[in-house]
Amino acid sequence: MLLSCRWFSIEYWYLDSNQQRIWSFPVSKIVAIVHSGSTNCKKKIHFVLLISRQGKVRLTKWYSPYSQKERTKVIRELSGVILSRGPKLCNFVEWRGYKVVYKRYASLYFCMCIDQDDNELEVLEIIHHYVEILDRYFGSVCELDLIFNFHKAYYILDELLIAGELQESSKKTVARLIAAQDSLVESAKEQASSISNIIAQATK
Amino acid sequence: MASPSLMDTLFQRTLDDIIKGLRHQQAGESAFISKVVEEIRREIKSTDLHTKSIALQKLTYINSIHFIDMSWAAFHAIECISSPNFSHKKVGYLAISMSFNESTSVILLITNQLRKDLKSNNEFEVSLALDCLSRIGTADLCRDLTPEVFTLLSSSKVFVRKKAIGVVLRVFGKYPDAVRVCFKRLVECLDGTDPQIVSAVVGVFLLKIFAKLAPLEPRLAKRVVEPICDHMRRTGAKSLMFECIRTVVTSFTDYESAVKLSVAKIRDFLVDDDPNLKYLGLHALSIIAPNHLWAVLENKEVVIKSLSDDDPNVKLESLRLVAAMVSESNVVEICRVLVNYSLKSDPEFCNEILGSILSKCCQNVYEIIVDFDWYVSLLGEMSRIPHCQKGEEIENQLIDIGMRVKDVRPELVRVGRDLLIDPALLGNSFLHRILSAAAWVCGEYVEFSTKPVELVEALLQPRTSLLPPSIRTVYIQSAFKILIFCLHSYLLQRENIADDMASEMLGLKSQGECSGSSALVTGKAPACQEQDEGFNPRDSNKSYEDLSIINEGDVSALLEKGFTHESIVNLLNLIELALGPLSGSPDVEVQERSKNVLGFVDLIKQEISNGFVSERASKIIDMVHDAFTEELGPVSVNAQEKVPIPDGLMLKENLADLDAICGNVQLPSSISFSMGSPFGESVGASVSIPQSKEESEPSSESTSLLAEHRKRHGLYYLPSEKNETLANDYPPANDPKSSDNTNDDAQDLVKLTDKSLLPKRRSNHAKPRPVVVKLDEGDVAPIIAKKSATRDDLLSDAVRDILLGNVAKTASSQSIISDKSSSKRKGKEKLNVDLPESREILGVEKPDLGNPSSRRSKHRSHGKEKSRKSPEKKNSDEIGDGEKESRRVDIAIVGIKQNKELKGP
Repeated sequence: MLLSCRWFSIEYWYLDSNQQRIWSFPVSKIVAIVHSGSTNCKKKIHFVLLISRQGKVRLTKWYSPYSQKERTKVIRELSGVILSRGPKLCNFVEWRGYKVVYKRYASLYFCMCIDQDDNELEVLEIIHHYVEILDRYFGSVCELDLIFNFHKAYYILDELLIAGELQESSKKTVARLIAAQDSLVESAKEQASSISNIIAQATK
Repeated sequence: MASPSLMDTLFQRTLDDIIKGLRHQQAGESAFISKVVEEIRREIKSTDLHTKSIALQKLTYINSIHFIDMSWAAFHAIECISSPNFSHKKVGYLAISMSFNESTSVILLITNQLRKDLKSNNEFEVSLALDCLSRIGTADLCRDLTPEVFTLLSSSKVFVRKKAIGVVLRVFGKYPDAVRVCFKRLVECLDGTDPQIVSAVVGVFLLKIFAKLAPLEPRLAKRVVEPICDHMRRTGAKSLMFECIRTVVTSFTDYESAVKLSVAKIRDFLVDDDPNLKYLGLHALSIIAPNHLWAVLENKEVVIKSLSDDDPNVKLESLRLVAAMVSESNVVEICRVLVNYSLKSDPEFCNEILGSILSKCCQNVYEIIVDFDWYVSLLGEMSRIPHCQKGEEIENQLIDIGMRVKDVRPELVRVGRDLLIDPALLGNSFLHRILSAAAWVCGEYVEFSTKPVELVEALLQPRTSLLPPSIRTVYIQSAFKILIFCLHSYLLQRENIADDMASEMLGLKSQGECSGSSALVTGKAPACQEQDEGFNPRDSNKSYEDLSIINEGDVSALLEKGFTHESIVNLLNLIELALGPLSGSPDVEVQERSKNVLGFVDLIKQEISNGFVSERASKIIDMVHDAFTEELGPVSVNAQEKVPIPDGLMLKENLADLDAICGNVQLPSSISFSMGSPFGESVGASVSIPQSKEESEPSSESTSLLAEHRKRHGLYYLPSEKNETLANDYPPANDPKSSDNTNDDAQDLVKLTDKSLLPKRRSNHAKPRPVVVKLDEGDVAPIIAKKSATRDDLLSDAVRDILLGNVAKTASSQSIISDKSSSKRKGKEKLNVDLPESREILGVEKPDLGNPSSRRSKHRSHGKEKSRKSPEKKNSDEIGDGEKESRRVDIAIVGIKQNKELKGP
């Protein structure tokens, strides 16, 4: 069984272990234990925020339950903390017992909130990965693209993460899926917005 | 109503229009938004799904960016997802995943639609539904949709399978029973030939898995640790390397070579230019610190330098590390460094530093403090740091130390005096709490003071008007205590002189010399003095003070203080003058206390006129003095609860009555008595209230009054009591004091700590550590530096059950599990077989194993892993004849019992 993972060179690691047979039972079972047992099904990423340098919110995605009030509060607090940080400081902020990993791309801050014991560097790579996919999709993405296509940014994020976990590490795959869905939406829209349809609706 | 709908449809604003509109609005954005929301509310009711979906999309946008509530549109979102049109569905699902939560009332309405979409032929619809379920899945939803999701685990589309796995994990969290139904399917899926699926789930978690598993199976660690090290040496990916390091430092701390390697790698991180790596390096160090302090000491230079980093995160992390380095032998030096450092850092970090010093030093009832004199003077120094906002903490510690450590009281009084005398401190509102502690200490332990009159002057200085009333009352009370002490000393002195005159002149003569008379009395004086001077020449009066502890009569001390009739009268006049205006204070507490003191002064003045003290006066003074000399000890937090409630006492009812009374009238007398309570000494404050002698209240009322008193004067109670009456929320007052060593830079600091941080054996403790009074129970629980254990819950139990079944299957040559219960039983048998060996592990595990089921499950997994590892060897054991087995079970039970006893109740 060969594992491929683009994030880290896990392959080596896994081959090593395979040769030495360090596991006495299949990885899958370990994974299952860890995922469902010891970790108590903790979500990896609690929320994703995109904040502009002026403190405007561009995208919010919540993987843990937060009420509307809490959301506003979280954003106010975090944008205060993150926007005030200088350029040469580290990309992690400890906040209410969580860690917020952020990275600035042009005028946008991409922030993800994770648990204390999650791997910060990995999340940093996820952020970068997301930005690369956005870049590929929009063709050198800028803030305006995200402002006017906020739903698309959401859909891309949904392909990338599920339940706060990274699920797709291939940029190509994500691009393909999004393109396929786009064409589906387009054809559906065309059908719906044809004038005859509107009239049919109206006179119903 | 076709026409408005048509109008809406034809002239509906699109999302782009809204966004553009919003961007053109300079001011009045909220007005624009509310207008748009009005529009949306109308449009969303349209029967045309297209119009509806656009309205919903606009609403979703406004909700996600401007946080306008959209829960009212929940039903419309459901309508959208039921549309056959994919684009409507998509908008609907987006809205649902943004706005639904557990409390959304209509959430169950989407069950059917989700089921339909999960079964859809269009894989994108399936994926939408999966996304949605992963986000909003409640227990009910998970229960209802589990079969559909599990069917998808064998979907032919890769990305659907991946999403399904993601959702399954969520389902497991919400609905553990699902594990039992389809765990096998999941495992098959993970075992499957498609590497991509496994990679997505496994990939990044591989090392975490080992970290989590290591405590469960020690032998796994042995075999894994070497490859991990290997990888650490070879990998170029920093994130993986960090994960390796973290795995080692959290789970494999027993493997010397691995730890050494990871510390070396951490060092690389620390010296890296990338602030991220530096931070993570420090973080890793702080994880390893409790077990391998040497790792921190090795890197102390970097750690100390990081204290002056630009990044507050890095600073905090390094502060934690410095605090971790503190031990009994170097606490003095490190605290010195940190205090110096706090002088030149920004207010926020300064308080972080002070807070960490305070919390580190008071850990486990001042475990690491040997020289309390030093610590008390450090507290005094800390309170003079300009940015200090730790008033409450310092206050608590000053009083706590005073109560617990007898030997430190002279120094405590000296520190208190220095604080009280400085008029500048009164202007800093953050210091008020500390001042009240200082005042209390000086009043309570006045017998150690060299110049009580000076203390009274300090307590009554004009600038005390800057204090809040609650602290002024402490001042007044302390002044009263000191007055009583002076009067009493004066009386004793008179008696003494009379006696001496009658019998011998020796005593009087020796008063000029060092301490002749006291040597007569105790015989211990020379030794005492010698010791003191050898240790601390700072306070030449110390020997007297020490003596006065030894002989309760304080003969020598008061002779030294030499009260004359004149000085006493002056003192009385001073008090009268200072407290006179306060008797009209608007604050009842201040008013009452000062009135009491004034009344007392008045009485005494009459009685001791013309240098003659009447019998009556001396009796009164004696009595009050007796009340004050009663030692106040630390009180257990639970002391109050332990006092049995007398029969016929209805606490709650009474309190309610009192409320009603207090609502109408400001009861000034509500605090003045607290003695006659059935609690006596168990509540420290009772002694400090003079009136309590005379006034004795019915016990039922006194309880509530006591509570009232406790509320107002938390100060007199043990520090564990939260004092709510005073809040220190003011901005830091810049007290331009004592910023003398602000200009030594980081370099010096490193050099300084270079010396001081070495854990050298210091043998020059001239004085043994004084006795610290500890309570057997109810005291602050000792802080044990332990990581929180991985909690086992229902779910992991379920997983292990299943796993166990699986393992049983594999152990018995791959037969399919058909009967769950039988496999379970088999597992249990194996558990018993393995129990004796795994006893040690049990001992290592966390003490919160109270839940027997979790304990059992752990053992099961041990047994299982073990049996998987070496099936050949284990085989005989597993089959083992019944007799042998039952014997081993007995052993196992004994083992558990022993363990329980070891751990205690």
